[in-house]
Amino acid sequence: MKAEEQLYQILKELKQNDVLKHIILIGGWCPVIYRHHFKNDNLPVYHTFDIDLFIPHPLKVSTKIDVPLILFGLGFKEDIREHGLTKYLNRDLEIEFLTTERRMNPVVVNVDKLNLTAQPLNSLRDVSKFSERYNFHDIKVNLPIPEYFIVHKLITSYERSGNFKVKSERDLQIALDLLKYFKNDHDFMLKFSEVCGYLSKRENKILNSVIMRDEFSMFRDLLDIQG
Amino acid sequence: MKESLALQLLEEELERLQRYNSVLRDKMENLPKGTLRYKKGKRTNNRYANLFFYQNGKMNCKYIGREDSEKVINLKKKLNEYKEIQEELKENEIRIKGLKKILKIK
Repeated sequence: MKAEEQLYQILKELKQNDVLKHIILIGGWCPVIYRHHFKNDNLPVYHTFDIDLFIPHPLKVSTKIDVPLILFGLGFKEDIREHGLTKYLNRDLEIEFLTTERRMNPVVVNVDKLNLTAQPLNSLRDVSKFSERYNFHDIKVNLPIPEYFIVHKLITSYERSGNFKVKSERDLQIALDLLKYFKNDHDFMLKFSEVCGYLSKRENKILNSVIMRDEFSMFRDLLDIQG
Repeated sequence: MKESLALQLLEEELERLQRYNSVLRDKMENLPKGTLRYKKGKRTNNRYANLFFYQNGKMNCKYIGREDSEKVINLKKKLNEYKEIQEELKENEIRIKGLKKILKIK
């Protein structure tokens, strides 16, 4: 089964078990869903193996749902890593859960309501604020808006180093292609500035230095980023 | 750049598949292996299961229980899972070999 079909099966299963509406799909699969939602094959997409699912805090789930059991039912195997962080793998895909940072800065957060562990990331603190529902075939999926997605791809491209340099280049390329696609959309540019307004000083600095790269010269005037 | 991105993707797939295989191997280690064989009872119509398995190069046989008992049903499930993982590992190894060939890795 193609990876995209598998993604659909996972999301459908999560929807049927009343989980999907509470979580946000972030990361590399977003452009695929944007392409579906906007019904535009010109929207650039890149293949990815990672399905990143963001769990907002607080999570508004009334009864406990065993998400790993749902994933086992779809043929995924659990891969327990350092500090108990669990990823779910099959031959084609890897599912990881992420969440916002918590008090005491735990390395891994236990999400008891979904019976799983998630990696907390400070950079995702505003993802819920900038998320909307997008159509993917017959289901609706929560996704960050493209403006937020691009800003974060640009920042993570800078932050990745060492073994992640490979991903860094791809992040940059995805962001660049999406920017090219949206560059004439005035509303997009306004929203882009709004997202930038929520960045920390450090993130703004990073974004500025990324935009200074040659590939982004055509966007410099459009992206009025405050340093 | 696009070409190098494609190669990076293949490298990523190779790394991910190797990791997935190690997860599968860990899982296999915790599963029983062998074959179930059934024998009809001498005085009843019930069938009884024995597990045949190799240990230290020798064939061993262990009595499990009645064919319809929970113990036998669970064991059957686990043995099937073992076989499925074994098959998957084989397929993945072929894919890994192919990826290594493309990426020119020994």
